[in-house]
Amino acid sequence: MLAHARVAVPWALVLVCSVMIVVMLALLGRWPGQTWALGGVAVGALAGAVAWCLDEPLAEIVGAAARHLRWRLASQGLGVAVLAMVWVAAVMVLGGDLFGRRSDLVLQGLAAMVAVGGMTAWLRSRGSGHPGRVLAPYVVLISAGLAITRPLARQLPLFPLPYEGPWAASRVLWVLLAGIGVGALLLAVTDARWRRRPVSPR
Amino acid sequence: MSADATRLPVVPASSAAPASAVGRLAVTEAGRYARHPLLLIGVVLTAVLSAQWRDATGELDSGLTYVLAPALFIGVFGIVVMYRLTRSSDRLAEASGSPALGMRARTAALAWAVLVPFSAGLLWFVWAAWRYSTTVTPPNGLPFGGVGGSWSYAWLFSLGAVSCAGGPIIGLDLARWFPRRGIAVVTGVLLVIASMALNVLMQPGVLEGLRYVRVFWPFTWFGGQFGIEGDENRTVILTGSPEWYVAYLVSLCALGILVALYRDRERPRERLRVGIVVTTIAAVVLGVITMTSGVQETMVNPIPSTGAAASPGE
Repeated sequence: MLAHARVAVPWALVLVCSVMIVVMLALLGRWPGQTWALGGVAVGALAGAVAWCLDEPLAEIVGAAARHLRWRLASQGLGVAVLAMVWVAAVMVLGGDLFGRRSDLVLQGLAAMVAVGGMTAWLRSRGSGHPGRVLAPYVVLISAGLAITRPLARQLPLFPLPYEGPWAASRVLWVLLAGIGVGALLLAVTDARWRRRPVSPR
Repeated sequence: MSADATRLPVVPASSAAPASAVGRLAVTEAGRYARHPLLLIGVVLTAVLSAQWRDATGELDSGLTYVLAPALFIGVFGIVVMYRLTRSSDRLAEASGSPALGMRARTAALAWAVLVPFSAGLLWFVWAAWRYSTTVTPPNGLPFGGVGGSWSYAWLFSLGAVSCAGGPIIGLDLARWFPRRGIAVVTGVLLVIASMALNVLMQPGVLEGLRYVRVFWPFTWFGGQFGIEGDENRTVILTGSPEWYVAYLVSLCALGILVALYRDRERPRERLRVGIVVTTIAAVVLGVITMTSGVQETMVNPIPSTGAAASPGE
């Protein structure tokens, strides 16, 4: 399993994203007022890194492999675990008090990881070899844009401002996203009978 | 056999792809760019955010900071769009075995496709210029102290419209020189981090000297609520000329296109090399002019940000 993770996880990208997250959290911890949006940018980068981690690097030949998708996902989960540890450590150690919103930022990051990870796994179970390559740019860029400009701050409070934002609604939204991710992950790793397509009699 | 004989044959310039073929490919690439979901999402988000700029009368920044919308949603998104278009163009060329058009012609066609996001940025600028012209700036707002007019419109054009072309050109360069998984997205995020870091680092007491040389960075503010001691929202006008900044950014875009074209080693590159050197010198000169012209001392609005004078029209 470790040997597979060594090859399948894009460790260089994990490292680059981890460094970016650490830098963003360090800036956020030092100047929280001026760089508040970096929290959301970091959440997006974290989620994008998860999508890249769960991509299938050998999608063209993996159909003939003896290992089940569950096993491969579990193996690649090592990269996701590393990212989760980097995230929690960076927020707790570098993030400072964050206007009392530190636990909310941890929640946003972990929920984004679960949501994007579940979606990527589900797409893989549907036969897409590189869903991360498709998902990651959208997740990272749209998160960054929404965090910086907050165009729908009231309707879609993903990254509220520290004082005036609707934090309760934001928490509900993130938990909901995480729930969708868990559901997608379960669909991906279980061979539910009702999901199987009937075989054509021809 | 002499060493010269082992070199790849140099194709004479006259046998380069005909302009009409490049033109046709440019139209195709422009169509692909225009249909890309990230561009469409970016345009929608730009419109949604800009729609909130119903009336900036009374706002301290007079709505000038709305340039973030096209710069982020069309410019930074454009890094990924153009990177992907370029890579898919290369894959098609590889799959065809002997592509009808070489790398340089394909790069030129992709460079023409930059007109698509730039046109979107231009449309936004026309709208923003009209919106700004109807805005009444409060005395404690931005701009102040005799600065305004061309200063504000150059701000909107450079950061709002030119950045819509700059991002895709960065994507073109990345695809030509550093085709790596995730590099376009990572570069976009790094640009955002660096721009925000620049803003906090040039605060008084940190690295204030950065304020003077910051104009060399491709996205920088020329004023805002940078604050002073005791009034952290006080509006401030920073040094440099946004009018010259437009010329500086255009020279960077030209340089980016030349660097992308230079990647093709199978055609003569001497003229491109000269072009790159000349454009680099021009960019440095324009950057220095941007830095040394216009406002030369940081101007602090004499009226506090929370002063009674905040009411518009006074």
